[in-house]
Amino acid sequence: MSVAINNLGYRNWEGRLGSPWLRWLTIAMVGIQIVFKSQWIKRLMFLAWGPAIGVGGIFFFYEQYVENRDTIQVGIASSPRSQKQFGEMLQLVSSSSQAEVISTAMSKPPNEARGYVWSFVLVSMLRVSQGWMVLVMIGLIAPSLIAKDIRSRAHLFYFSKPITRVDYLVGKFSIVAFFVGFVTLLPVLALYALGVLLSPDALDVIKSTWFLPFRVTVACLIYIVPCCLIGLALSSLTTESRFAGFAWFMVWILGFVGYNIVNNISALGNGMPADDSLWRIISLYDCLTFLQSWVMDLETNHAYAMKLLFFVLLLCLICYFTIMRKISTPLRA
Amino acid sequence: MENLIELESIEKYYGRNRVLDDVSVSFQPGVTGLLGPNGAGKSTLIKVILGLVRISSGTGNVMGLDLLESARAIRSLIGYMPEDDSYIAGLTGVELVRYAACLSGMSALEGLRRAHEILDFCDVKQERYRNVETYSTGMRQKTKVAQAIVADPPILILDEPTSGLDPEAREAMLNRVKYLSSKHGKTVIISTHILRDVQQICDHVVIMANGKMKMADRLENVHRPSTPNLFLTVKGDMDLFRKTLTRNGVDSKLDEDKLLQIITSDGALPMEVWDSATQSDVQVQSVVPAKNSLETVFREAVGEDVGGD
Repeated sequence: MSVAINNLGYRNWEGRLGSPWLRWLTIAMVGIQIVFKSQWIKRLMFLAWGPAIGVGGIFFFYEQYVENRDTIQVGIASSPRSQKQFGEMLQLVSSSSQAEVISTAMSKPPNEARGYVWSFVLVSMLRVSQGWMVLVMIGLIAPSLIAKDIRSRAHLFYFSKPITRVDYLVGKFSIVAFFVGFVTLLPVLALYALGVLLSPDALDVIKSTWFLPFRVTVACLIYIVPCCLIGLALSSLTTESRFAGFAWFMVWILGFVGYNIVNNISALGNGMPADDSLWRIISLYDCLTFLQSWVMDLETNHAYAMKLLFFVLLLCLICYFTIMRKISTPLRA
Repeated sequence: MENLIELESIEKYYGRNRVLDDVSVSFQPGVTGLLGPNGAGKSTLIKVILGLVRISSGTGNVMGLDLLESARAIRSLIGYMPEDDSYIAGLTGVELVRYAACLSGMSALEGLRRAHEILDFCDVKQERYRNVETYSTGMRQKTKVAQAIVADPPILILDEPTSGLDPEAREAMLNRVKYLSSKHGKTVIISTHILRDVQQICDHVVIMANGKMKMADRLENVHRPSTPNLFLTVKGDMDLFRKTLTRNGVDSKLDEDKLLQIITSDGALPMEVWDSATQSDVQVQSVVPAKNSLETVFREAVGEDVGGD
């Protein structure tokens, strides 16, 4: 038998092992490395930054508007008509019906209005990316993460090493969260930074909007955590990732369509949609975006938000226990 | 001799089904063959040692670490090679072994260096850069061993390491295992159906059946028959020779292979045998002490007909 010239035979290893608490990071990094091999994921990650650049222009126009209002006393910038037009422009990007609220907010002094307008723009940006980007991103990544492991019996590979089921779950979760965060949280934070940089008075802007990056982060987490857990839970239910992917898209699409049908029926009966209907929970998109608006202080119905939050937490717990149970089952076989 | 793994009165239930029934066993340095028919509880016993399933009752420790309280620490002492194909889709062989090293706590760079070193040792050449899904059975077995030993654990549990290998690869695999045990002091437990593998490299044998421990002993003791008989090959009139033996007070019987078995009390050949040979004019060509074959011992232990390899 020929022996490779670099074959040193078996040698004992004398090094020191790293902390057992960071093993999830290894799972996450290797998972990210595997997902990065997909060209589609790279394209999506690139595309996700498009809206951020577009919406960044809105900050620029808004700050120009504020600057003009302070310096030019007479002109379209200070007129109620221009405020309404700006509100309508935001409506275009946000597909929300809050143009009136925006124009009212804009009539206030800039330091009071800025927080609201910026929050509104950031949330609008999130909805643009979350509306389809997160749906597609998780639909491409999450279904295979656990399903493929179960199919290739990788659980024995993982759990014979000094890692726990929680490490495994946190690692897998981090893979999805990384990519989803990359197309949601990161562009929004970059957008905020861009907005500050494009503002004529950056210090004044930071003073009146310093809380926004934190709120945006929480708002994104409210979206990312349940979405990633649902994606992983669906993945853990099958060995065929295409079934998990199909289920993922169906959960969102049917939920969204179902809620809108219910809402329209309600609107036909009462003349307007019921904003505080618990039917919202059938559409995760509507449920989570409402909670985001609540976190960003754009919605003030706290009691209703708490009910939705309770539902989301319950859903997360169900997903968590489903995943834990499903990854334990093959070990007993 | 120091016991590296000690299990005491282990019971494990899956629902109402008792898969481990009062199992007490200890594993010592060297190579131990864990034998048993399908459903004997071998895999469950391995999972108990690895802390992958919780025991219903009993106690145990691995190198002094309690089975129930230190599952993670125990797993860092054990390298496990599963019987089933177990791989991460999308990774090459070297990436998989590096991943195993990193999951055991090595840094990424050190893990990569070590992965190459171990793959060299396991005779995985350029195939290491191919995706593991494309590997042949033999290549997968080598990669599975590599991922088990990459972190240099003191204990190795290998589940059917030679399954699906051609004779040459099987021989190389067994040599590798023996080398790790004899030269690097690894304690190796091999779960297998192939008795010949056990015969070839094991120092100890543990036999299980129906969730119970049937036998645990050194291989040399297993081979030793309960009565130290001798086998004779003779040339001449066998019937006359046997009659003469009986007349001279020596018990004998003829086995299926026409070997004459002399039943003795101390393993020594009685002088009467030589006298009988002279009297009946036969030539004694060979005298071999009787040994229990592992297959016979295994069959007796599990109490049913099973096919050995």
